[in-house]
Amino acid sequence: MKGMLMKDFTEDGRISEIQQSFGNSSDIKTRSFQHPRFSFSGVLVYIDGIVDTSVIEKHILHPLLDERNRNRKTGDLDIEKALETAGVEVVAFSSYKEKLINGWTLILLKDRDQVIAADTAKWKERALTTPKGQRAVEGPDIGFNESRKSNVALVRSIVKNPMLRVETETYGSITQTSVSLVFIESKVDEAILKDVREKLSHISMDYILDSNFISEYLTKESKSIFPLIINTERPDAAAAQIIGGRVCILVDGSPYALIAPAELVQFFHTAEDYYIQSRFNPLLRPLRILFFWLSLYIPALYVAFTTFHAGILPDNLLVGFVAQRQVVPLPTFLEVVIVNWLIDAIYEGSNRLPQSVVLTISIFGAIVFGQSAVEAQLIQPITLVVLSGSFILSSIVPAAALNYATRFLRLSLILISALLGLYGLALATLMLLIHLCSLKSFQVPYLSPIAPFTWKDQKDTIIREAMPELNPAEVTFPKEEDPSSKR
Amino acid sequence: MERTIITPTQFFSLMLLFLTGTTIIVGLNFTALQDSGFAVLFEMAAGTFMFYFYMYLSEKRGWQNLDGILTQAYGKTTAKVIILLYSLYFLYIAGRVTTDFSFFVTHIIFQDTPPWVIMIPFLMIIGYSTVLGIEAVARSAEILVFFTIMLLVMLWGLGFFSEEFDPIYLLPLFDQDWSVLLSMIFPTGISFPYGELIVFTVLFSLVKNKKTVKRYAWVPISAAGFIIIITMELVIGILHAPMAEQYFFPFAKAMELVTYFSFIEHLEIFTTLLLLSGVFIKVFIFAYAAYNLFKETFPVKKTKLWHSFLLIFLIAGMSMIASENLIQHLQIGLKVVPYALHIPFQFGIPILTALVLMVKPQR
Repeated sequence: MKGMLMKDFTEDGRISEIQQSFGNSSDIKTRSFQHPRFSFSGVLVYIDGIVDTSVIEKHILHPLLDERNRNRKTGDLDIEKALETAGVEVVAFSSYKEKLINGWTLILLKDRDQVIAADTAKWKERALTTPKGQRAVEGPDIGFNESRKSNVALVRSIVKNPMLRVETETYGSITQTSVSLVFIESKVDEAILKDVREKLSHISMDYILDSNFISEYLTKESKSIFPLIINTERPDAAAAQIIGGRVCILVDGSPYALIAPAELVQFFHTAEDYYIQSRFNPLLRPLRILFFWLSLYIPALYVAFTTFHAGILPDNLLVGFVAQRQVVPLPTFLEVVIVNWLIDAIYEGSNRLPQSVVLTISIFGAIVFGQSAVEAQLIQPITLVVLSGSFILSSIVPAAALNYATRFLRLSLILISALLGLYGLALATLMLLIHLCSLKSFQVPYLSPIAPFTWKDQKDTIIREAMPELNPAEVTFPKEEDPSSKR
Repeated sequence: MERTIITPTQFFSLMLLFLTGTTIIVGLNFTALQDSGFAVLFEMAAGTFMFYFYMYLSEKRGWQNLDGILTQAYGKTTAKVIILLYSLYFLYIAGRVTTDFSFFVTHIIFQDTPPWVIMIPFLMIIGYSTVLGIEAVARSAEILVFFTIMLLVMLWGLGFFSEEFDPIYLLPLFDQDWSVLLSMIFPTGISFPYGELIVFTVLFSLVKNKKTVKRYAWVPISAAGFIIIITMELVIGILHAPMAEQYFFPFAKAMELVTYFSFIEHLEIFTTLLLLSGVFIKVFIFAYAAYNLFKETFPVKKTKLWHSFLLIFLIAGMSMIASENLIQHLQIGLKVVPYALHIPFQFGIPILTALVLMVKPQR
């Protein structure tokens, strides 16, 4: 009986067409069915592993074959009503590929050209865990995972508001990755939203594995080392940004949500800033910003002073420097560059290596550097102190994206101060300032609300004011009127 | 460069840096000894008056820039000649400011270094900022003005409370003749730095909220005046006025003398930072104005990268003119430039233009 049925469909050609179009992949499953009393038969087609088979059993097969669902008199079955899955669509046969790939089950019926598709997708996903990279001492402790759907759900669970909009498109010709734009209709800045939408619509990529793929595409015009899009793996942070009128982009397969536009000060904001009362320690954030700049400038200042302006240094400090200087072989500048690279190497190594080996590296780093190199009179102890100090200071920057910029900048500043001393350092700072001022993230100046200065947006910039001051959440996005001056 | 918008805050920041940055370090004038502060007060009042006069000229013609006003007054051909002259004038001043700067740096941080070593990297930054446009510079002015004021207040604090500062030197006041005061005010005092505000007439059309600018333009001008006066008093108190007059860079010299616990010393380094931000804004605005006047008048269709290169080469060239050494440079700055350049360009042409426009019926 079953064989006959299969034969019918084989003659129909639809089953074999599906199987051929997937190259007879072993995970394309078919399951035929026939009602024992009525002349009602068909085949279910699905991709094994991405569907929930128990749903197919209970909510598709069972209702289809249950007599109670049929009209008592005529014995007819209204299939779309009978199916108990959440998503049911009647589609043309030609669209079978898209449905199957997205985890739907196709119901092919004998003598019916159309196909009924039922949503049975069950993607494998990691359980929700704490955010890996952006931990917080206090406050909500849940992170995004790799499923876009659950990420959107996480945002929705925080922002329970009908004005929340989710616009989803698929990008990537091979991976067919879905990307969602999440924003609050009444809060979002129209011009920015339009800009983001337009830039997204121009995306043409073969594959998208992570939100960074989108991020790089959106900011491809920028040649700056500074990140123009901020990313977060915290649903609470994403929700806060959405409420602040920004646009959040969630990419399937990435636990990092993108937030546009980004401003430089935001990279210094952490979740705890909002979860610990600001009057307990209002200086936390300003210190973070100060430390960031110090970490950039300390090595450069060290090089500038020791190579060019030793005369300016206070005498007792100078004596210590000179005493160490006499025994080491390399010029200070080279020494600083080399140690800087070695620290970078240790950092990279401890990031990549298996957990069990990391300890070895750090012990080697500490002993070989801290003790032996100095005792062997290869490196001045002050160089070590300066660079490790700088490295520790830079590690307090909450956004990893900014850290890469820091490393590049630190080295550039060391180079310029080796060439032109303090004067070069001052010029480089000026250049950095103009560069930062010229940057724009989705039309919004990168340094706003400091430059251009807006008084009412200072409440949550350098120092966070108390919550009653911050609610209602209102942020303005200063934009230049003329879009042609975009950079 | 493209049509951009500057907010009033940015405009005022630019003005304040423009007026103070170079003046307090390379332009302090102690001709009237202890009474120099009074002279600055008069200069400040005159400067405010002059700036409002420039604004009035522009406002009457629908907030046009300098080139528009001149074209309306003199017709196209004559105006073109005048605009070109202005363009060259601005370039020359940019060159002179650059020279001031490079002499100062070679004097204070890099002794025995040829000035071009200082000048070339600086002009490259100017070139870079002309590529990025006035918008970026206006924004950075907001930040620079903040740091400048912080730095100044710190230096003042350290200076006034140091052992070197002696209030006795500030007295006696009203010791000088009116003629001495007048000779200090006119023409050097008025033309530098206040008269140089004529260059801001090239920025008027970019400003976003012109009413605010009109209402508060006196604020940065008088703030600059008071900054200059306070710095002057500090320098007089440390160096004594007759001595202060002898130094090329009295503020830097005064700060050099200030030490605390033999650990905090060499504060003159910080004056370099002050000067850098001021000179940067000043040279940029002059360069921007010169370029734009040239561009508005002659058919330059699009801003290109090599224009910026040409611009900084021209400034470098201008800075070489009759500035072989500091003495010659300062001599020309005091004796020739005010009479030959400042008076006609800051007062002569604007007043003449106002008269012509008054007589000429408005279209």
